[in-house]
Amino acid sequence: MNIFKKQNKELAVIAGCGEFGSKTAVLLQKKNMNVHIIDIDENSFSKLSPEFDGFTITGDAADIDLLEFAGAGKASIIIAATNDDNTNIMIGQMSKHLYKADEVVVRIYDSAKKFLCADMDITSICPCVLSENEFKRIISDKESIAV
Amino acid sequence: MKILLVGGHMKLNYLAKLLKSSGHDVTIVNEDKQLCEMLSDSHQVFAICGDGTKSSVLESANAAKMDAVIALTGNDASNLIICEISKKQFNIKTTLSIVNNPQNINMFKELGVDKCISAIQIFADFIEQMS
Repeated sequence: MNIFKKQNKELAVIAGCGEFGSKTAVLLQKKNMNVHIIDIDENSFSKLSPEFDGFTITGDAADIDLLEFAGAGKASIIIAATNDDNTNIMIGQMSKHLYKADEVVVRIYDSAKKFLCADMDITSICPCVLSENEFKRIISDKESIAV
Repeated sequence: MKILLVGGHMKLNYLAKLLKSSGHDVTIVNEDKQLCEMLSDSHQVFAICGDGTKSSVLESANAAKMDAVIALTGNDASNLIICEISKKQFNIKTTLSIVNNPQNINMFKELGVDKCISAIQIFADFIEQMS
């Protein structure tokens, strides 16, 4: 992703401050980006590590007004990582459709919904597919050792 | 017409009864098992109990054979996904949705929902006309 190489600080908006959202927020900050992170539950922000110095915004990330307030219109990367697949897909589609963000990444648990992102140039991360691939790798490693 | 109703409670009950009595072929998908049983008994509609935002559930409700799908859940994201899967995966010609946040109406339309109904928007339009 070329967005990490630019000199000026770019903006990343993350919806959902869970395990994945909070880790990604710190990662992007280390890549020299400004990070705004949204969660409906204020307590979720305690998952952010102390070194995080971006903005935290409490509210419903699927609300257009709130996404706008969080800077979605200026963001170069928008990540949807709430605990609801449908909300993530909707945020992803909003981001691509209304805000034309360069990179939109959504986390989806149900791999059957991936096609809704594929045809809109939205990158989807599917934990089940990743686990499956990792498991296949472990199995094939074991098999090659056995041989 | 073959019509699929997804989600909803009071709205679903009313609409299922109305459409059935005017001779349409009605199927419902709902997460509430009791409601499914109640509606299939009282209105003789085919009911599937499950999450209507999942394509496997819509498939077991025979979505590919439907003429129209109506999304009635209280969650806009769910309604959008129901309509999108119906349109893109099952090629259902007409998709209709309740929109809870009127600000989503334009986006819904652009993403392939054929008709959006928002009670608040209707009120606002009505008051606008009165004044």
